[in-house]
Amino acid sequence: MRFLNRKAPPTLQPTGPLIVVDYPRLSPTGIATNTTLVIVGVAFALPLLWLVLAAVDKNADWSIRLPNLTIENFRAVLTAHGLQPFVNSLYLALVTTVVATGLALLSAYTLSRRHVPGKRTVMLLVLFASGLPVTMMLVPIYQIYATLHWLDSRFTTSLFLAASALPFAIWLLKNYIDAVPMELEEAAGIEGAGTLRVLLHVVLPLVLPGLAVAAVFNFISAWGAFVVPLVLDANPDDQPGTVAIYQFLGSHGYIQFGQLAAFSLLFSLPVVVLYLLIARIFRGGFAFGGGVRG
Amino acid sequence: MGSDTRFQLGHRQDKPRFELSSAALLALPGGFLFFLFVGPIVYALFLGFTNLQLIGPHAQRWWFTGLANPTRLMHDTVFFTSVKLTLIFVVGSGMVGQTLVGLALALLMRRSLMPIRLSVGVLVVAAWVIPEVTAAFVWYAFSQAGGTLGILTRSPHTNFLFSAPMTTVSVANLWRGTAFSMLVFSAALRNIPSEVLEAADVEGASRFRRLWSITLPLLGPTLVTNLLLVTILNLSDFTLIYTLTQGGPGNSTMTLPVYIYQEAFNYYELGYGTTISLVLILIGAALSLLFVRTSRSAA
Amino acid sequence: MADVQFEHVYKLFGDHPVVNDLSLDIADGEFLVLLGPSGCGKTTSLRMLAGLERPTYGRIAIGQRTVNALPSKARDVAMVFQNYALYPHKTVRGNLAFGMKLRRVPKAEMNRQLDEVATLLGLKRLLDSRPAELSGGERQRVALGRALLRRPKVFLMDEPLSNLDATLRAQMRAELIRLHTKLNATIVYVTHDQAEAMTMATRIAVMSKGHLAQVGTPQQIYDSPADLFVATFVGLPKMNVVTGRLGSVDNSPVLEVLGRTIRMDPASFVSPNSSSSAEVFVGIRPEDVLCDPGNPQDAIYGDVEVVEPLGSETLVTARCDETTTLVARVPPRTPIAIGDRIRIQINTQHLHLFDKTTQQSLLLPTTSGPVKTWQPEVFAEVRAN
Repeated sequence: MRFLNRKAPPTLQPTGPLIVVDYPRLSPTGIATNTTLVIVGVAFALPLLWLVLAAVDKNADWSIRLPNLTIENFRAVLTAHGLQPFVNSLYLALVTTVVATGLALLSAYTLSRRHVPGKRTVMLLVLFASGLPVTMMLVPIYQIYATLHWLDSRFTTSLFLAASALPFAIWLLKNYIDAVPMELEEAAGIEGAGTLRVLLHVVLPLVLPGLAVAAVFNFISAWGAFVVPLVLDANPDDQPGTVAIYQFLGSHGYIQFGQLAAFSLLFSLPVVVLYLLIARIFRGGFAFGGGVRG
Repeated sequence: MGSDTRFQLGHRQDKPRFELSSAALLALPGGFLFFLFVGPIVYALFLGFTNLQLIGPHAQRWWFTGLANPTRLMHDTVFFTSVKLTLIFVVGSGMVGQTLVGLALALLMRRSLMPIRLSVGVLVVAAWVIPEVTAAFVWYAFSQAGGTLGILTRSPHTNFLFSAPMTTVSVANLWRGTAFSMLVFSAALRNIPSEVLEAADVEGASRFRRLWSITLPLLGPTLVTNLLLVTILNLSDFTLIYTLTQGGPGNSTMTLPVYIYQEAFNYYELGYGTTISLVLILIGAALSLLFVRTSRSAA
Repeated sequence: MADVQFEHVYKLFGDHPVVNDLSLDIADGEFLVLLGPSGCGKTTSLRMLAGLERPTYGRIAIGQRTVNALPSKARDVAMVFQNYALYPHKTVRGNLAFGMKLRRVPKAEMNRQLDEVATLLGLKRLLDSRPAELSGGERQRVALGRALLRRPKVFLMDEPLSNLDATLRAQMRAELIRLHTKLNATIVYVTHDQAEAMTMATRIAVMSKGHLAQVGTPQQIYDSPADLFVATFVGLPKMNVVTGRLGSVDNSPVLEVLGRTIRMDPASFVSPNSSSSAEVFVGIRPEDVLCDPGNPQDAIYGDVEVVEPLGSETLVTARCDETTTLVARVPPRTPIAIGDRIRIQINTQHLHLFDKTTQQSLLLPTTSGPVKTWQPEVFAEVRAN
């Protein structure tokens, strides 16, 4: 009967909502578990801690220590010149997201709902392609871009980023579209809706969460893209944040530790926020409840 | 009824049709992928056997050189070092390190106090979600002479990227990539019905016994998928290593992706760089195929 | 409103026929129920009519116009799906208005019609709710309202009541009958529930394994089932089926069944095709099995094995011999208990005869049944032989 005792009785809070808590017992194993986790947590926190401290330290260097508090570092980054890499990263990420997500929606819908000859093979190829490393395409794509005079442009760079993100986005979205009940589209068809209307009025609203996940995924990966813009766009004015951080470090000379830390911190912020947003969608669990039974 | 036989038993009327609108919907993404994904791969098959250079005598005038590049590869000691380092990196840091730590974290978190679980989860995921260059920068700072790692190990004058470059890079990669495995295993653990574990509990199985005989076997398929994905992700990793060490010091962290980049864009040997890429493609394709085979939910 | 024709319609999934040579005329204004067990092809037939599946062979026409090549959006039909298929992201109003918006119905007209249907179905206070907030019955009514607003040539309904509880189902049944009378609409309705079919249909088409087994009014289907499948599928509790033997006594045909010999009207049935054996299946509805102790010496004896009081009636299962049990429908509070030996009489006027191999009914359409008139003396007379 041990397992019966593990669960503490539900806690009733007269003013708030009913909360049922499953308290783990603080047995010796429980203490060991939590202690281990705390140690791991500290280990993961330590490298990040320096970043946070250095960003607000007037005389930051490699060492970790209590900062001589300042916001000067952030102020230095938040100038027109300092923000240009942000603008470039945003440009790359937005174009990549729009192109990759849009194209993924079209192909995922078709592959999910229509008869396409050799569909199975196509889907396997898509899955296969999403596992291929981008690094290996670097030279040929560089050569192709050089031939087409597509180098040193933010737009064409984001096109390649979109292409490399597309297979996974198709795979992800197809799984979401597969989960939309077919009857909803059939009902809309019987009511007189054509392909475009079905796509816009029925499918799109229902796969919005999946679309958001795919879009955020594309955005995060394009925001963090480093080697592709490094190779395809040598124009210093087009430098995204990733390349900027690398150049900062690579100069190896006098490093403005504090400013670089502040820059990195700010540069990480958008993707962390976006990740938190889709993590909520995941947890919320979109229900098709009500539309169809079960 | 029955008088109208025009429709009867002729050709099938319900043969699946590839509709015009389907073709229209697929044209754009298909063309896009063909041009920017399939194209480069096919092109690589050709470029790998040429003497193309970025800058130099063969930048403008270059030609097919047959087996010259593969022969060079076979005699390239850096290449073999690179293969060995890639293996160490992928197996040590990825398959063993990230997977084991990720699994352990996922298991421990089930039995931990809410605030601890939440904050550890946030930290681990943060390391994964921040741009890779930022992660590299953080570790660069962490392992410099006078950095936090030196203080912790009481050797404040050591630059770990010089004294133990491969280990440092591997640990940094472990730090960065563990979240992926942790999330995969956490999701899999949530899908194990609690009844199964409760049944074992009723039968008097110890905690360790439950873990060993029930939870871990149930995680088997997830483990396989996760190992493959981790391998694929780590195999192509370039940014972290390149930002931290550029493959140095003295080729000691020169994994294949970094070596490709160095040959192609630092030494301007585009053709030879592509030859090395082809090796990576081959390994990546084999792993990708394996992945396709194991994910039964395909198509 | 329009009529509907299926002409030699086949649907093959691979080589497996799901619908096999279906020919069916549905008149304008008819409430036709496609009835059959799951997998009999009824839903596939409906989906072919809706344009959601294409027939493999054959012709389908709505209002005398061949629709084989028309996509569902051009067929002018409305469909109520088994799981309602309401758009979860739209409110009830949005769900109802979507089709009219597609047809560009003017705003004022749209509101008027929407109001009318919402009033009719009692949906007015729910117009701003989303499907997830509605009960099963309410969702059902929204789906119905959506179909009504389409003003189609034909209404198609695919087991629309199967997800409702019993009370609600009975209530919706009555509502559908009222709607049909009011609109005089053509309705093709798919169900596996014979109660729905019997209560609502003007005609029932019974399907079995892709074939159309029988078409007729509910009473025709019940009284003169065309084959053994229809006979046992329709009617609750199921028709009793026992083996009998056709013979002749004094040059007039008799049926030997359950140890009795019954004189038959020669004009009422055809002989079975299989000449080798005169064995036939004899079907007896439970209400024609009488546990009346009136004529003890003429009766069949049975040992009561199960007694199921249903309130308004009681079902009695009795074993007559090693291979035969009969279910009888007797008045409530009949003093019968398990283990009792009871006397059973058969109302031979409503006997059904089926060929043992083809399982087709052997009865010819007469008004009087296989045995001219039922009298207790029949038994006595036969016994005397």
